[in-house]
Amino acid sequence: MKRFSDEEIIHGLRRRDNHVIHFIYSTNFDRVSRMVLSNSCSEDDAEDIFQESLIIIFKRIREEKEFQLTSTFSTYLYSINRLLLLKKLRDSRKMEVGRLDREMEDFIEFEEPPPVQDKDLRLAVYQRNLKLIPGDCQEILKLTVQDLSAREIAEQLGFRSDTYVRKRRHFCKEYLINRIREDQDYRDMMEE
Amino acid sequence: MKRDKYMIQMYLDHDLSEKEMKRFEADLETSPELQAELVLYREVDEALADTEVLNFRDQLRDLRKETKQSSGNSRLPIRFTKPWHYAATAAIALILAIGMASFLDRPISNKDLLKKYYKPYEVALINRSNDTELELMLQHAERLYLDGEFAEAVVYFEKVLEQHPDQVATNLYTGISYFEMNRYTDAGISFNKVIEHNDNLYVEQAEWYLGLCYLATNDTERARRQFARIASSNSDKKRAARKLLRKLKN
Repeated sequence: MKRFSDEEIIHGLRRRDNHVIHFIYSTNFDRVSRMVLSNSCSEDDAEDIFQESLIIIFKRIREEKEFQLTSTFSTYLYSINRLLLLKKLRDSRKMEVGRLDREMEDFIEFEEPPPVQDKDLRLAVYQRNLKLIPGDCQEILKLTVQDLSAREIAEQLGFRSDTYVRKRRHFCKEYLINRIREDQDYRDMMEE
Repeated sequence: MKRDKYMIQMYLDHDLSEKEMKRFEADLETSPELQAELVLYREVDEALADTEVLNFRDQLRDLRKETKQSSGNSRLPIRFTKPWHYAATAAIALILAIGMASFLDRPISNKDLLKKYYKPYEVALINRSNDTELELMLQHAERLYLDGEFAEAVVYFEKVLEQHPDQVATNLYTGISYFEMNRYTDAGISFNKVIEHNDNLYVEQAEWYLGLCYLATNDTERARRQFARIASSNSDKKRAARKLLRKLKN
């Protein structure tokens, strides 16, 4: 597999280049996975945390045109994963967690956690839940926020009438909001 | 509260009358619960509007799925020593799979169909006399595309499209570039732009590649509908679409 410099990784992430993403996973995921598993979380948690970290970095790179790393990419990525894991542990156990597994913390380098907004984590929960509602609901809601009228949505998705779209849109939004409210991560966050 | 929820959506959609609006805003001032609901509704809309992150989420999920599948399949006892061994074995396996499936008239996997039916659209390089910055950028993108540097090419294609979003050929090349980068959702968006434009020479190609996008993401039902549409049209691809439809798994 081709190796990428930190600069190439940032450039590649900005473009969402699959080769770069593969490289990031192959060089960093195992280490993060070990950290997550050694703190009583599951393999799925490791996948979720790693994915959210990449999305947070992607958003940061997107927002800051002159984005600069202050450490190596691996350290930066690990630090965000570590921060997300700490947040998860605090939210789910409702207790202060200052340190993760001591043995691991002693030999893996990380920097002071860069701030991650709680709102970023809430948006992640909303988007995750969007993927769990019926396909037509996803399409209707996505087109609605793009300011398309009910008539335009009906035409684009091949529905009979705009009245149906209006009713369905209301149902879909309610359905999504209810799913979010039942999401354990969301509940943990809101009970903080 | 049920009424309030309905009112929140109406409020966000600017569908309330002046009287209803005043009443809603008065309720909002005195109800922390309603305020929290409004924040939730607004944030959900924000999350829905960020299609770039939504697409990135899909891309990461697909990549992980693909990686896990391929690592699961890689536990074979046979050891190859040279790269061409892999290529030769893959080619033989593909020929055998398609051959057997055709012989038995059975469906074959979407992945194998994709290998058989996909090839990138060939760019016809045009020497443009008007050497504006935009033309030069487009030429550079097309050269990168021809060299198979799709990730680089797409950056320049997108820059051209920022200024001329209706350039259908550029949209098609952008779609192919994304396809080559396994970013099928983005590829589909580009192909749809060509199709929606409608009045151009590339619609049939875009229709075809859009079907292949569905195939690549294992959305077999949409792939079937797409190829059925092509098969029943006057498209140059109608025969290929018919053949492919016969091989699609149920």
